[in-house]
Amino acid sequence: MKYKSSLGLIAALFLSACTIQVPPYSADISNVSKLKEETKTPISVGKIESEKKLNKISLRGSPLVSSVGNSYGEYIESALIKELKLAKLWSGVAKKQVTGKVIDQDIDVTGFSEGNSFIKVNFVVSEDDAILFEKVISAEHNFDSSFIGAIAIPNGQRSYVELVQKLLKNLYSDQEFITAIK
Amino acid sequence: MKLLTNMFFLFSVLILSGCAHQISLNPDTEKLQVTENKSASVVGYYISEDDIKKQVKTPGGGGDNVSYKPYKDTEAALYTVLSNKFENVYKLESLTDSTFLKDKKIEYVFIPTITTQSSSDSLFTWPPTEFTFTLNCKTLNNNGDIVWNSEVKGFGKAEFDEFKNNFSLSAKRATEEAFNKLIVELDQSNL
Repeated sequence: MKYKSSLGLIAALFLSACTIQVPPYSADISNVSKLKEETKTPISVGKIESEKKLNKISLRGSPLVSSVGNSYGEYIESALIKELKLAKLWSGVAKKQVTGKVIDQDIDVTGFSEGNSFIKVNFVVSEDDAILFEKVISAEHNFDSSFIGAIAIPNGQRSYVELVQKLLKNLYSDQEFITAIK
Repeated sequence: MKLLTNMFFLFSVLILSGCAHQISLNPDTEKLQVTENKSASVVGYYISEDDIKKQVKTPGGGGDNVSYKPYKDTEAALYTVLSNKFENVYKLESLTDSTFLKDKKIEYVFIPTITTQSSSDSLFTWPPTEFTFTLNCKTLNNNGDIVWNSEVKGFGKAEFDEFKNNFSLSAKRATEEAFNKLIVELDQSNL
C-alpha cells in the first residue's frame, strides 16, 4: 500500500507540470441546422474577451489552456465562426456582429466518479453603433471522471469542447438573440 | 531520474491496466480538401439516434482500451464534405419523412456506416499508435434506390513524441485521410 502511495506521488509529480491544450472545437451540426433554419442574414464575429485569470484552468494541477491564440475568448470566437461558416452565414464584412466577454468558467475534476464544468459569457450583437442584444449566456456540462488522474485529466480536457457546444446551443436557443441576428 | 521514470511507467501498468480512455476522432475540418466539381443538388444525410450515441471500445497500448463515439465525433466532417460539394445539406431525423424530403427538395440521402480498428505497440502508454477508420457511404435517390455506394479507408499512425500533446492523433489522422478520400470519390461520381 505504501508502495502504491509512493507511485501515486510520482505520478502526481509527473502529471502536474504538464500544460495541456483544449482539443480543437468540433462544430455541433444541430447548432448549425438551427442557425440555418432561423436566418439568412450574414454575421461577422468580433472579439470575445477573456481576462488573464480565466485563461488557465487547473485540472488537478495541470494547467489547461486554449488551443486557439492565447485566450479562451479566441477559442469561442473560432467556435462561433466554424458554426456560422458551416451554416453559410459568416461574412468578415457583415454589419451585424457578435462580440462578447467570458465572465466566468471552470472545470472541476476533483470528483472520483463525475466531473463538471460551467461557463458564462456575455454576448453582444451590434449593428453599426446600435446594440441589438446583450445577455449573459451560461452552460453546464457533466462528464465521467475517475480517481486516476490519467483518466480524469484528459476527460476534463475533452469536456471543454462539449461545454462550448452547449453554450452556443443555449445562445442560438435564445429568442432575443435570434431576433437580433435576423 | 531514470529510476523515477521507470517507476512511473510501472505505476501506469499496475494501476491503469484495463482502463478505457476517451479519445476524439474528429479531424480538423479546416484541413479537408476543397471539392473540384460543385453540384447544384440538395442532399441530406441520416445517422440514427442509436448510432450517434454509440460508444465504441478498441485496443490502445499497455493492455488498455480507448473509447470514442465514431458517428458523433465525425458528423461535422461528413457535413463539411457534403456542404463543400452540394448546394445545401440537411441532417435528417428520419428516413421516412417524405414531406421533409419533398419540402427541402432533397435529391440524395447519404447513410454512413463506420468501422474502426486501433492498436499500439507500446507496453507503457495507452494512446493508440495505429488507427484505421473505414467509412461506407450508401446513397439513395428520392425513390429509395441505391445510386452510389463508396467505401474509403483512412490509416493514421502516431508515435509517442507526437501524441504526447494529443492522445487522439492517430485517430484524427485516420479520419482526415478517409474524409479527404471521400471528397475525391464524390468528385469522380455523377452525383
